[in-house]
Amino acid sequence: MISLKDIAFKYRAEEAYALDHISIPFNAGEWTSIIGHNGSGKSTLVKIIMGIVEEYEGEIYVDGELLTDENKQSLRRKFAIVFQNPDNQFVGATVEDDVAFGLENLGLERSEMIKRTEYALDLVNMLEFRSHEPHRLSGGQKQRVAIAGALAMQPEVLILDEATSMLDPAGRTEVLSILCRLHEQLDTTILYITHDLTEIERSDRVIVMNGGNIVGEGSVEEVYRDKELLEKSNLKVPYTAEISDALLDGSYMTHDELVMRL
Amino acid sequence: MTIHFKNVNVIYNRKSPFEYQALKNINTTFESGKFYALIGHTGSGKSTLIQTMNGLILPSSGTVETDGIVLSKKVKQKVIHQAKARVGMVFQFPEHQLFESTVLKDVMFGPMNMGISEEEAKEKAYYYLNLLNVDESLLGKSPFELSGGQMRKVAIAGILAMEPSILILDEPTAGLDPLSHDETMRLFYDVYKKMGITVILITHDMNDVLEFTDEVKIMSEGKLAGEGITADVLTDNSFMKQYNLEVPHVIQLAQSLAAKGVKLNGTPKNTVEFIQLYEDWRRNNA
Amino acid sequence: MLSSMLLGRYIPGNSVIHKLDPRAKIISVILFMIIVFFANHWIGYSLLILFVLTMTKLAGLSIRFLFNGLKLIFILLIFTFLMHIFLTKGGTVLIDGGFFTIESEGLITGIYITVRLIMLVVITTLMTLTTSPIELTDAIEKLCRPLKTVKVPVHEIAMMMSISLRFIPTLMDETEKIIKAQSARGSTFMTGNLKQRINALVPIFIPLFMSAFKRAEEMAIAMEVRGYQGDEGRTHYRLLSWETRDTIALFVLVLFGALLIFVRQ
Repeated sequence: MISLKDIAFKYRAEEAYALDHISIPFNAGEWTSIIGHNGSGKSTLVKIIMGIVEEYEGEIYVDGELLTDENKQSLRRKFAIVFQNPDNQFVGATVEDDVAFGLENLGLERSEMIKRTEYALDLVNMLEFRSHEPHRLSGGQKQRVAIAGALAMQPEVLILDEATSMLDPAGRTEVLSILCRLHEQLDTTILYITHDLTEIERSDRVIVMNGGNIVGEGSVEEVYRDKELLEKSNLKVPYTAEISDALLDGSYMTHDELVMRL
Repeated sequence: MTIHFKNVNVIYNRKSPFEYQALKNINTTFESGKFYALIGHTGSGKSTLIQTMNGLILPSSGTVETDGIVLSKKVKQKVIHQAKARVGMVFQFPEHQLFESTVLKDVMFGPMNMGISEEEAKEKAYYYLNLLNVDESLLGKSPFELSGGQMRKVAIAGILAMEPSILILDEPTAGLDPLSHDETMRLFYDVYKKMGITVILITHDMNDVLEFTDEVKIMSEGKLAGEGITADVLTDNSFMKQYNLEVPHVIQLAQSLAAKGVKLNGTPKNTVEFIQLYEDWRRNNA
Repeated sequence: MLSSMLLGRYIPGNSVIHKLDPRAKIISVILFMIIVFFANHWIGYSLLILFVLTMTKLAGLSIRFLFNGLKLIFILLIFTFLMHIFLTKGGTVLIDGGFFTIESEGLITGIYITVRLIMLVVITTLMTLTTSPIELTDAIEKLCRPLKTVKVPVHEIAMMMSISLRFIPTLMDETEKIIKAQSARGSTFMTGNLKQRINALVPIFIPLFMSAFKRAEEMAIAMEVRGYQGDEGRTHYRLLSWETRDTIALFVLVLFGALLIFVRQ
């Protein structure tokens, strides 16, 4: 799938590395979460993967192929991304126009566009809103449309860059449950960037970033259990871990397990 | 300072096909010196309610009275201005209101609009920026050069420097990461304690409601659906369910434990209190 | 007041007029602007009114609704009417008020010109009420396509128009929020002399511009990562299809124009 080799980047020559020579392989069908506080380098990483920032050191491999100036156009089509602000990525005048925007850019036949738009909107349960205008939608609904727009491009990896951070709790739950379903039913490869530990529960693998480096990696449980790592990385320890740490053996557990053990 | 709502109705676009009643006969009181939570879903009328407190929206009928200042349908601009001096309002994403050339000037904007001299305004600006841990080296900088978190603190300092006796916080932590969220909430709590003011917090985060507020008011469909002592409201499961509100983690835990026979002595407000209460219980039942 | 304004609004529907190709509607409005000038006599003007009323009915809109929504414009038109009554001279004197006279020419020209303007406003409003902004932009892009040969960036302009239209409600909300936030900080917009009032706009415009720039930047990135590279190799999701009914519509209009010429005197 995607593999990053020794990626480094500075915004200004005299500054420290925003990304300090990091290497990560991402595997197909996995839900990988990257967690870190603001300024940890996680968003810079996304910018490099998406080609928004181009002067980086290191190598990116997509399906084993090295990303170069010649092939970057076609290789980057394998990624689709949903950004943070629901308003600032809604290009179309209506829901369906927005989903079709990327498809128009690909130069697809109209019949194919209609098929894909309907399919993608159905996946995020927004088909009945297809002719709605963006200002009549809630933040959560707009983000679901953005996910549909990304899925319609049939990417190999769906990237979400703090896609829920501007939503209210209801919107957040909406978006996360859609992602869970996509991952479970369609094996969608997800790269989920967040600063909120409570959102990573469903991921297969978690990468913790701090100061432009990867400081930890493992399963959700392993990361939840590593209180020291979380504190050092300026991340909030989940309340279950805090309680388990104070009253029990400190091992990771869910809310229900906590109730059972106490 | 106490705010009294008497039969307050707010109707938008009167006598048009778009007519819409945002507030329906609100009668309630926000007492001086308390920390309130105002909760309700989008469109429940909570943001209209807070805007009637400083005259950004005037009642279509009824009155909102704050210590002698009465806001009603036909009230003079001067009275509204007085209300604004008493009621400070931190809107969602307050950093979007910054506009001055320097941080210092931006914080001084509110106080000076209220007729305070430049010197005094400067003094207040220094004091409140310091209170919010904004480094003094930043005061001469353009607010647009700061990080998002710093911008938000500067904007909040701009409201505090007006020294309102009622502070309204409309989802002040929206978009912040969890640690900054906690830091900001604690900061507000300190300010509340230090200034001895009334605070009204609009939020979706029921954990914050439990931890910081004394009383809760719930809005639904333009009406006041309920009010009461925070711990009482949040432990009333049928009420919470009726309004589709999420029960805070520690209350969920305490309730599940109670069902198991572990009855804690009191309602914990946060994780630390929960741990303490549980340890007490363990000691007593050892 | 503002919310009952109909200028520039779109009301979704399923009428014949809604279903017409937006290009047909634009061309019709332009043709109508010419045709209006064929009428020079009360029969012609009566036919014009009849025609516009029929179109309104066909669009499934009530005349009263349209009238209420255009009140503001009508006030302007009454002003034009009065100008003509008082300033155009000729024919018999109808009223002699000493320092002013109202003469028959003035009355007649006043009525005719006002009717003409009302019909133009109504027909244009009918177009915008029955055509979504995105359809209008598409149609303009298609109609202006020939201009591409003389290097007019037709696609880019249409894209800009459509994104601007899409952002209008967002920016309106934002403006309202900023006005409220500054107003809560004691900023006053309604009092003071001109200079003070202009100064009071600074705290609104600066945040508004800052946010608009930020939005534009994020939007540009979002468009780029979704593969947008301008017009080249781009297909269209929205299809404008010229149907028989569109040709018929234009034909009817041309016939109507001919009829007006026929009744000219």
